[in-house]
This record gives sequence, structure tokens and C-alpha cells, in this order.
Amino acid sequence: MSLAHLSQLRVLRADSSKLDDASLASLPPSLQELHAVDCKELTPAASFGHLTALRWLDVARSTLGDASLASMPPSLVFLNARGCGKLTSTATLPRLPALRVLDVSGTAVGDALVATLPASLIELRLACCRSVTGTGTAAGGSLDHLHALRVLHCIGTELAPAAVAACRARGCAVQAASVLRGHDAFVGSLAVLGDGRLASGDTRGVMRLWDVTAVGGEATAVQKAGGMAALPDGRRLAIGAASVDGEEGCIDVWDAVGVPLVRRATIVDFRSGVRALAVLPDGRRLAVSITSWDDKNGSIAVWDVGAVPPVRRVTIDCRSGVRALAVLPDGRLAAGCADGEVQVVDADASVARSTLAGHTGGVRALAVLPDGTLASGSEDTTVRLWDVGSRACVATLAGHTGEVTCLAVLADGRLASGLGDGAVWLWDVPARACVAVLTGHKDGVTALAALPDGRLAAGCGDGTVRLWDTRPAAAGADAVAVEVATAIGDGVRALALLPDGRLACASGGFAYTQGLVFLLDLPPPAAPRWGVAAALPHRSGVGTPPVAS
Amino acid sequence: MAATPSDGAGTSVLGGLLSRMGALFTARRPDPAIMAAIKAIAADAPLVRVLAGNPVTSAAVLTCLNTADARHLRRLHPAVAGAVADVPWCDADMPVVDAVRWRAAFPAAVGAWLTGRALERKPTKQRRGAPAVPPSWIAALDGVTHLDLRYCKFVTDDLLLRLPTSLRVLNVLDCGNLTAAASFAHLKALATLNCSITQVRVGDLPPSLQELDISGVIGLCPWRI
Repeated sequence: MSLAHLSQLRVLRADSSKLDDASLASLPPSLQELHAVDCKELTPAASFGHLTALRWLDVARSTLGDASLASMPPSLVFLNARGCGKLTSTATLPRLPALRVLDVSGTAVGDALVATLPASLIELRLACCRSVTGTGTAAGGSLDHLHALRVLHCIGTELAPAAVAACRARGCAVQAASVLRGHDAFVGSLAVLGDGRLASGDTRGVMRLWDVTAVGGEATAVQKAGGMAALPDGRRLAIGAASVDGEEGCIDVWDAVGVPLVRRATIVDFRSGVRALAVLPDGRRLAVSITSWDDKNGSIAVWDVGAVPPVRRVTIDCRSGVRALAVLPDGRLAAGCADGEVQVVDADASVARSTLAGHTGGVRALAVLPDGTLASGSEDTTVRLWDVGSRACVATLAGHTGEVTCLAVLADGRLASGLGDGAVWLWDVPARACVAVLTGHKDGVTALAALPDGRLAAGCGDGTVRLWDTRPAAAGADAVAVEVATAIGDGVRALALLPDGRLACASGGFAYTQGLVFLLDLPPPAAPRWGVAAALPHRSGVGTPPVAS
Repeated sequence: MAATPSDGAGTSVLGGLLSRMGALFTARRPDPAIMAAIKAIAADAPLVRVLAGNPVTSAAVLTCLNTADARHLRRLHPAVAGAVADVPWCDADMPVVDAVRWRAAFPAAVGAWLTGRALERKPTKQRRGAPAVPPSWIAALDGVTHLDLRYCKFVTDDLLLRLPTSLRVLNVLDCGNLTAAASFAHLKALATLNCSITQVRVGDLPPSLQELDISGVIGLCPWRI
């Protein structure tokens, strides 16, 4: 069906639609802005040449190819072709004198495309384009002609250090980071061992152990990994796993000292999947949350993993799926349940000692505040603060605009709540007041990490990691945060702060075809912003596509 | 601060003002001390003069506020009440639960975000199919140019045909009771349409459209029906 009769059409949003080549060809030349993310009906030959007024084009994860790229109209100002899997190393751009922002991250484009980049570019995103070397060829291929470039994202490329240094010398901000490759599925969990090594587990059941201090240092390990926990001795790693249907689970305890890893023990005793692990203060016992596939049944098993083989000490029925675990200061365990309750259990007893009721939606996250107060974040869009001793809810932090997906306690004791709508709220807990709302993410917040210097990192389902300067001294009394981090990957699942100050980010890579762990060098607190464009994609108004400046 | 239904129903315009200014967010309600201070300011004659002394100024200031509940604002001064009534409110942030009460409170309003809360709270036996929209609601919408009906179950193919032709912006995102037979052709002034995550087809869209959102249309291909 043709849309040619919409002769005044200026903006079309057709993400995840059946937009195909014929439909595209019918679009009127008046179009200025087109969103066609995840349009799989387009072919690599789809042409955009007739859209002579097009300024903004977002075709991330669509199936357009080299010919499509070559057909781009010269009016284009913004182009997001991130994750377009049909692009090849021979792809080139036509003359695009107005282009300011280009994102081809996660594609196979190479130096041929770099050679055709217009000098007008202000922001260039090439993350994980492994065919890009920037060393130059007979046809060009270096970045030297990009005199206007102010932001370069080149994580995971083969760009020569000299090329990066030359960019920096011209005043371009280049984020420093490295990528750990090897997973072929979404990386969903991270754990830092006592000696600083990093363990990563993917959704296909592979766990890898990385020596993040050495380039390429890696110890491939084992098998299924749902959740992970590093044991306090710095040498053992516990991995909780669930079968695909969630009906079976197991725990492996690995000796992570040598390479290859040595499996110390395997616990296969669960009739349901493992969701979360927590190491008890004695370092010997491991609490494992066990949850049925439908979240209707769940329990906590406490294992003595110091013994060989591990010994199950106790099982505590929670009458609902257990989604989060937290160790309280007195050594007891708090379990956030799918039925909205928080169960407080004694790891030595076989029954839950108390129930904290009040949430009307499932509990997704728990955090223990410095004064021992327990915070629970729920799908009912509230955070409740509990005096565990008296079993009383001492406050409800309400007003969230989405379900609470994660919590983090900042270095100064404030509480951060990450929401399903992409916002992060900062709470002054004693005042029971929200002091700031950090916005910018285009998808739900999936992970939070509080930095020792008072800043906060937030990972998002849209693949971005943002670093907020949440220090009151930096942000003023109203704590209006500053965004200083950048975008990576196609969906961040977990964050972990490494001992050397870098931030490990578990991601699905691009187009969900691989699993990547990014190691981000965080800028110092006073550093300028990384991105010119706040985030990609960027929504815009009719006829006025925003242009990075 | 949580959004609350507006006139009808809602919190105070002062709370809305706080929200707009981004000054504070509180756990349950604005800090009492701050609210008291703002009320004191609001009662001050200079503010009344600003709001009501000059029609242009008052309209400009009032449009920065929202329609959560304008009763307090009206009580400031008779002239303010007149200004409130005359403002062509087009508040897309405050959900309206009762179109008739909303129209009575803001007779000059030209746009609103209408929710189905009132209509969809009927007893279960009456909830089969799409909730019926009373004619008074349709009458209340007469003359509007901006209408947000996202997620409303009461939005049907028939209701679309009864919407005012003055509409320039319409959002029917995820209105599950729209079918492939729904037609927008009569909305000759429509410039912006969001019909994403619906089953509508786009064959007879008005040529006046400048902005169209058909993302994630469920089930039916929007192009080839």
C-alpha cells in the first residue's frame, strides 16, 4: 500500500513495522525524519535516494545493506545504522556534506567507509567495528580529514593508537575502554573476585573468567551460569544456574586460582531455577534463591560450600519466587519475593522468621542502607524502607514513574532507584524526599553501580551506560546530575566496579549476536561530557531534527 | 511527584507548578514548609497583578502551569478566574478522567489527555467489549485540536468517527479496540497521528498528515492489507 498521497508527511515512525522496499519507495519526498528501527522487511537494496529532504534517519538493527547506504540523500544530518548486520567491509557513503552524527556501531563496515566519511562529522560511533583500523589505504581510510570531529566512540575497533592520539590532539573526545570477547550469547551476570579478576556468565550457560589486568588474559570456563557470587576467600566462585525451562537448577563451586579452572564441587539439587546468590558473612555459607518458572513457588537453600562436597544446611520455604537476596547486618537474609513480600530469614533456621508486607507488586531489588534499614524496590513503583527489627515499614518512597528494577546505595548514604521507564531517582532517605530525577535513558534501567567517589553508573536496556555526578558538592543543593558517560552495546545487563577503578559492563553486544563485556575507563569527576548528542536515537519534533552542535 | 488525574480530579496547581519547575520531589507530598511559603507568595497582590493584570501576561504565565486543579488559582482573584477560563489549555501532562468536568473547568481548552479510568471502572458485567462513551463526553470534546487517547479501551472505530474534525493531533497508541476497519479519513485537519501498536491500517489516512507513528502495529501489516 502506498503512502505517496501523504504529500505533506514530514515525520514517520515505523519502528518494528513491516516497512519494506516498496513501502519505502512510496514515501513522499517531503519526509524529513524517518524512524525504521528493527525493520526486517527492508532488503540490502532498499533505496533512500528519493527522500531528498530527509535529515534524520534511524534504521538501527534493520536489514539494509551497502547499496542502501550508498543511496543516502545529501540532505542527511543524522544517520543511525547501528547493528545493521547486512553492511559489509566494502560499504561506502555517498557525498553527505550535511552529516553531523553517524552511528554504525556493531556492523562490519571498514576502512572503505571511513575513507568516505564527510568532514562535517561532529560525532562518530564505530564501536565494535572490527574492520576499522584507521591506518589508511590507497583510497584513504584514516580519520585525519575529520577536522570537525568532537566525539569518537571506537571501543572494540582495531583503530591504531596513533590514529586515536591524533584525534585527541585535534580536540576530539575519545573514550578509553576495552572489550572482552568470547561469549556468544547475552552476558547477564558479573562478579569480581577478591584478587580483582572478573567472572562473566552468559545466557547460554557459559562462564568466563578474565584477568582484566592483562591484555587478552582469559580463562575459559565451564558451563551454565545464571547468577554468580565470588566467595570471600578470593579464590572460589559460585555459579548458580537454571535450565532453559527454569525447572532445574544447580550450583557449581569453582576454584578460580589456576587456569584452567578446577571444579571443586557441583550442586545439582534444585527442582527450580536459581535466581540469586548471596555469600553469608562467615564466607562458608552460600544462600541460593530457588524459584519456579511461574514465580509462584520459591525457597532459599543455604549451603556450606566450605565443605567438600558442599552440604545443604537448611531450606527455607518463601511461598513465592525469590527474586533478590540481601544479607542484613546481623547476618540474617532478606528475600524479595514475587508476591510482594520481603521475607527475613535466619540462615540457621528452617522457617522464615518474619514477613515484611506492604508492597502490592513483586519485589525486584533489595538494598541495605548504612544504618541497617532495608530498602525494597517493587513493581508497584514504590520503595519501602523497613526497620527489620520491629518488622515495620518506616517509610514509603512513592512517586516513581515506573516499576523499580534496581537499587543502589550511594557513598554518602543516599539511595538510588532505577526504574523501568529509564529514570533514576535519588532519595535523601532521612528526609524521605526525592532530591533528583536523572533522565536520559531510552529504556528501562537494568543495573546501578555506586562509585566510591560518590558518582553513580546506570546501565540501561537501550545499551547505554551513563555516569552521573551525584555528589552534592558537584551538583549543588538540588543535586541536578551531570551525564558524563557514553553509549555502548545493545542492552546492559550488569555492572561491576573493578578494583582498578574501571567499570565492567555486561552487554549483549550489538544486534544481540554476541556477548560482550566492556571495561570502561571512567573519566574523573570533573571531566567534560563524553557525548555531543546526549544519546542515540534521539526523538525530535516535527521538521526540526536536533543536530549536534 | 506522581501525576494525578485532573478536573476532573487532581492535586493542586501549586504542586504542579513545583513539578514543572523541577524544584523538588518529595516522597509523598511537597514539603509543608515550602508549600506554605508558596501559598503565601500566591496570596500576595503582586502575583495576582502578574496573573490577572495583563491578559497577555496572564495567558503566558498560566500556560506554563497545568490543569491538575485550577480551583486554588481561580480563588486568588476574580480576574484570575476569568483568565483561567479564557486560557486555551492544551495540557498533555495531566490525565483527565471526566471529560465533562474538565470542559466545565476549562471552557476554552483545546487539548487534553483523556484516560479511560472513569469509563472502565464499570462493574464486570458491563465491561464486556469496549466501554460506552456517553454523548456528553463527545460534546465536551467539541473544538479540541489535540487529543491523547493512548491505551483507552473505549476508543473504537465508531468513536473515531464521532471525534471532532477540528483535531490536529491525535494519539491512539495501543488502543486495543480499534480494528482494521478504523478510519481517520474524516479528520481532514489531522497533522499528527500516533496509531502505533494498534490494528489499524493506513490506507485512508488524511493527506493533511505531517507526522505519523505506526511503530509496532500488531498483527496486521500496515502497508498491505
